[in-house]
Parts: sequence; structure tokens; C-alpha cells
Amino acid sequence: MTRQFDERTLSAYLDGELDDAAMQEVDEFLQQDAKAREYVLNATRTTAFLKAASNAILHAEVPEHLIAAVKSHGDRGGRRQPVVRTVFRIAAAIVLVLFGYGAGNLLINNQLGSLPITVAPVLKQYGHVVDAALEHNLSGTPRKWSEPQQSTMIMITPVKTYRDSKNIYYREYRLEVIAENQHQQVDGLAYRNSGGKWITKALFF
Amino acid sequence: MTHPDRRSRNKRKIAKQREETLRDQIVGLLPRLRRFGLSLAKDRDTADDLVQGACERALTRLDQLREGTRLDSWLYRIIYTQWIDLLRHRQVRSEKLIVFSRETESRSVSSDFDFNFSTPLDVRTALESLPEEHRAAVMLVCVEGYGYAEAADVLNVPAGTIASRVSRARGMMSRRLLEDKGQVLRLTKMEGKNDSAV
Repeated sequence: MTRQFDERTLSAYLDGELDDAAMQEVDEFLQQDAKAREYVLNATRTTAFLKAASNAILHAEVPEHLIAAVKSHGDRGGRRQPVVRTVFRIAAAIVLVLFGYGAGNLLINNQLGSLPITVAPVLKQYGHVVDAALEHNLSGTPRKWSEPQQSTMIMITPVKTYRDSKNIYYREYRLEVIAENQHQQVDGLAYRNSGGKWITKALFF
Repeated sequence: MTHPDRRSRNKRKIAKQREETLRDQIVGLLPRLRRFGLSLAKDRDTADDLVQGACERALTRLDQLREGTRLDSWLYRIIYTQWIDLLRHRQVRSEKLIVFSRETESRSVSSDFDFNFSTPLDVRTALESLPEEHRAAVMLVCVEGYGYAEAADVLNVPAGTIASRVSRARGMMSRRLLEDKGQVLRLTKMEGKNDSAV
């Protein structure tokens, strides 16, 4: 009779932490147990996604002050950035999001109908483009969309990403519309709802 | 016979050379240290402060780095210890709003590598929802490729604790990612008895 294995053992199996005999036993168990196979598959996917999501910083430039702090430590060289700077940024972000909530509701509820002609239809018609840009584009990376028949081109550039204490994501973005040789630019703030859709809460002109 | 002054000068010279070599090695490790710091701190500025503090502390205690000790493990341990100390002084941290920088957002998942499972933001949310000690364990094992014994040494816990934390962290993250996508949750807890070697 094949032994049963719990998640802890299956996890150790994935990490190569079992001895040869145990590895073989788990292999046999996996051939017979669909739930265990599903656990292993999902755990493997989770690990792969975790690695992919964690690696971006490896390709980012290391700040000069950090390198200087290591190279010149003891020479009173690279000075540590004060924690106060971080606190200021957090405070600024809180103010921004609170303002975004209030002003955004006001704008969305009262002024969407009176937006310049090039912006209002874009938000309604090309919501899926805004959604895709906010979901997939890094801050500073624009997503473009053009409609040759209507000679309209829109460009959405996420600017910054936030997350609040309820794990809701917010993104500032810039929406540019070029239609009939006119250029219209609007800054927006959107949040990601539980269905994964980005909802614009504020527009700034 | 060598003169005592000369012997002392040679000793200082060797120590200086060792320190310079270690400084270069630490600079080379900075991207990985930042990755680990970011997984704990969740925002880049705090992560960089954490890494910088850890490097400075390490450089003042180079005499404590024993022959055969991995430099990266030693630095991870210092980062983790500093993070735990910081948390103790920051009881209201859950109320803060986290500002993500470009680097922390990660790259988007391309359509040809899509398990219909999650986006980098989902993964980061799932990781950040884990308890501190689970997050550190899963990062060291799953991302840094540490064995349970090595990770246990860094986090100063038994290897069995690492096994449990990594397993629980994987389970919690998988469930969260599946739930986020509205998929049917079929990861029912398996209640089999575990008595195999870990």
C-alpha cells in the first residue's frame, strides 16, 4: 500500500530536501494521487512566478549612495539616507490618495460629462486599453492605441503605483489623446477592484 | 627574526587587503541583498536603508566573519535581524501606505508565459500577505536557492521550522493566487501522516 504524504513533505520533495528513498516513494504517490499532483503543480507555478516577480530589482541600477556606503564606510563617505525621507514620501502618498478619493469622486460624478470632447469618449470607449496598460505596463512605460479610421491615437503611461493597508492597488497614470490634430492630456488615478479591473477614481487637468 | 613593528605592519596590510576584497564582494552582492531587503520591507527606500545599515554593520564587524562562512548568508542574517528590530519599533506599520517604485513593480508577464494564473502584482501581493518569518524563509529557499539547513542558519531556527514555513508559505500563496483569479479552489488540505525524512 502506498503511503500518504502531506504538503510539508511534498514541498520538501520540490526543494530536493528528501533522501533518495523518500523521493521515490513520493514519486509513486504522485502517480496515484491527483490532489497531490495538483498541489505540486500549483506550488511549482507559485515558485516560478515568485522568482519572476522578484528578479526585476536584480536588473535595476544599484543606487550610487549604496555603493559609496560600502566602498567608503569608515571614511565618513557614503552617508545613509535619512529615514525621514521615506516617512515624507509615505505621508505625501497618503495625502495624494486621500485627495484622489475625494477629488476623484467629485470629478467622476460631476464632471465626466463635461470633459473635453477628446477625453470623455476615450475613457468610455478605450477602457480596455487603460485597463491593460495599468495591469501590465511598468511605470514610465507607455501603451499606445490608434484608430486609423477615426485618426485618433491614445497613449496611457502609468506613473506610480501604491498599495493601501487593505491591499488595494492604486496607480497614477497619464492619458494623452491626439485626435484631429488636437492634443489633450489628463492625469488619472485608478484602483484595482477585486475582479482585477482598474477603476478610475480621479482625473486631474 | 622579523621585527615586531614590521610584523604588525604586515598584519595590518593583510587585514586591509581582506577588507578591500570583502567590500568588492559586498558591492557585487548588492542586487541580491536589495532583492531580499525588498521582500521584507516591501518598498525600495526602506529596503535600501535596510541593506545599507546591514552592510555598514557588517563592515564594522568583519573580524566576526569566520573562515568558511558564506558572506551572502552572513549579510542576509544581518538584514533579517535588523528588519525584525525595525518592526519592533514600528508597531503601526500596517497603517502605512506603500509606495511602489518602478523597480518593485516587476516586469509584466508576457502572453507566451501566461499560466492564466497571476500577474507580478498578484504575486507580490501574495508574498506580502505572508507573515514576516514565512516571507524570509520562502525567499531564501525558493528565490535564493538555499537549502533548508542554510536558510535555518540564516534565520536562526531549526531546519524543520524552515520546512514548515516554506510549505505553509507556498500553500498560502497558491491559494491566494487561485482565489484572486476566481478559480475553483481544489487545494484541499491533505491530512496524510508525515513521517518521512525532511
